[in-house]
Amino acid sequence: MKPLVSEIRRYLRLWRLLLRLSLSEMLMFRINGLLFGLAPIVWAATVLIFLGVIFSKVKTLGGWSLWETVFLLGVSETVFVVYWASFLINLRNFINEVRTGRFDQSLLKPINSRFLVSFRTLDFTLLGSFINSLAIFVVSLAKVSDQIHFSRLPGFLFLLAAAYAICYLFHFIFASLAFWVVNARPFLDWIFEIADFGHYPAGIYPPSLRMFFTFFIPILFFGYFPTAFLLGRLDNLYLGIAILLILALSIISRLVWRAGLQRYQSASS
Amino acid sequence: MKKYWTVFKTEFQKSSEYRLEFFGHMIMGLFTFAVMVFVFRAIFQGNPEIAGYTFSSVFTYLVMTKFLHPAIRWNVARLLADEIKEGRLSAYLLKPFGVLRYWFSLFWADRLVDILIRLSLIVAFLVLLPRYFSFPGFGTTLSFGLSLVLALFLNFTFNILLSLFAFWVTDIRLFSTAIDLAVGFFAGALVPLDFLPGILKPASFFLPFQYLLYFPIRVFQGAVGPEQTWVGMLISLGWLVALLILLDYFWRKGIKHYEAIGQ
Repeated sequence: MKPLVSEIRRYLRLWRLLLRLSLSEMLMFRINGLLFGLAPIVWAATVLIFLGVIFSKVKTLGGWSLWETVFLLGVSETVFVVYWASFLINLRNFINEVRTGRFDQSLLKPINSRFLVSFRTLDFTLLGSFINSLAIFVVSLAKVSDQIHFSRLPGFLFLLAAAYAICYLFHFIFASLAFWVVNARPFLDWIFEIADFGHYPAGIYPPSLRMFFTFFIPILFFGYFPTAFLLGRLDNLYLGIAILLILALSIISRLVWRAGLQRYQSASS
Repeated sequence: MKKYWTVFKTEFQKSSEYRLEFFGHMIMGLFTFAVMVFVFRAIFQGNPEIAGYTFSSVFTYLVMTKFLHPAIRWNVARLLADEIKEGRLSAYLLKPFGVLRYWFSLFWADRLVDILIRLSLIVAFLVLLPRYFSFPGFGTTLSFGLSLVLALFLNFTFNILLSLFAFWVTDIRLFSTAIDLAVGFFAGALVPLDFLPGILKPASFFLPFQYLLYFPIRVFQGAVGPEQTWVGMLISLGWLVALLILLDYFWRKGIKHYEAIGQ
């Protein structure tokens, strides 16, 4: 038990150090960091106008009102920005490193290579996007507060944490395919596109598709299930499903990673 | 002209090599298309017609945007801006050809491969989904083709204009993504412009971006009469001329300002 605690502490210290390095990199070009937030504002404006257009024609979409849908957007985007900034950018770099043979450098370091590959940097240029998505979240939360079951807050927070874990494990499995294919980047791009299904109330999809996006490509866990749970539209069963899914994905990711490492051959000398 | 034709042929061959990547990107686009189909199906459940559209016509519109929007676009703004930023523009300036004509040849070669494949897929839709797609007639097809060519010219000119900011700004990515999103929105990539509320609708019909996507698609759908089609194309041509004048002005200003930093 003691070695495990000390190992966790070591990796937390390492992560804080990596965080400080990322932050100092971003602060070298402060204006860049702020202006990169411009695109998310335009994106948010276009999506909110689109939702406004939809709800000017219908009262509900898949049984969800305008503000519930905007709240879903806020939650989904906040989760998306957090996972993009914390590990997605690193997984994309990892794919490139495997392809060019530079992954050796990560293997030679006295740190768990999976940790390094996943959490090496934190992309602070997404600060603007994070503030943007948080603003949508907070404003829409105020509008749907009368529908929120506050007794469900712990479950909501758990599902948010589960969303992050499932996102990470799912992306990690596909990024690890870099050990077998020349360019695994399209797999991550596909997940990015498929995740769009989770930005709208799942009631608009047929039951078979909802099942598929729950158990096989679990993108509904990325934002939809936490939101639906907080709004009282989902029962506690999904907390259990989330736990099982995390366990299953953890095992698969570990197996894929180990098999990939055994297969890896450096392309450099 | 021969030198630009050579550039065109080389780029065309290069673009034809990565077919698998192209189909990979197309499959990606199908996911967001599928989401939009479900969203609009839910909207039209209680409403047979909205803003003059039925679900069938919206479906056709969405298919056309998914095929055409990537086809008319190319990353020319960032590519040329990077050449300017890194000082590599000097190499082009020393060569015996016009820089903008060179990039124009590259653009057309790259886009032609894309458009040919996407248009063949539209033909496949015409055959497989007659409920949503029907052959619009030769006259309409010709008008659609012409409006598409104008859209390509407009898109290229606008993007080159955007890239010229690199003469004065360190990195155009700071705002080019935001502009790209806004242009896509006002081109009708997300939703037909007829659906837009309030002041957005007249604004979108005033701006030139409708001629990138919305106008060619509506011509294809037969929603624009012959007279309106010609008027639309003339206005599009007018915008093209205006952008070319601006392009010429800012290019001359930019070249005087250019310092070839990095070389």
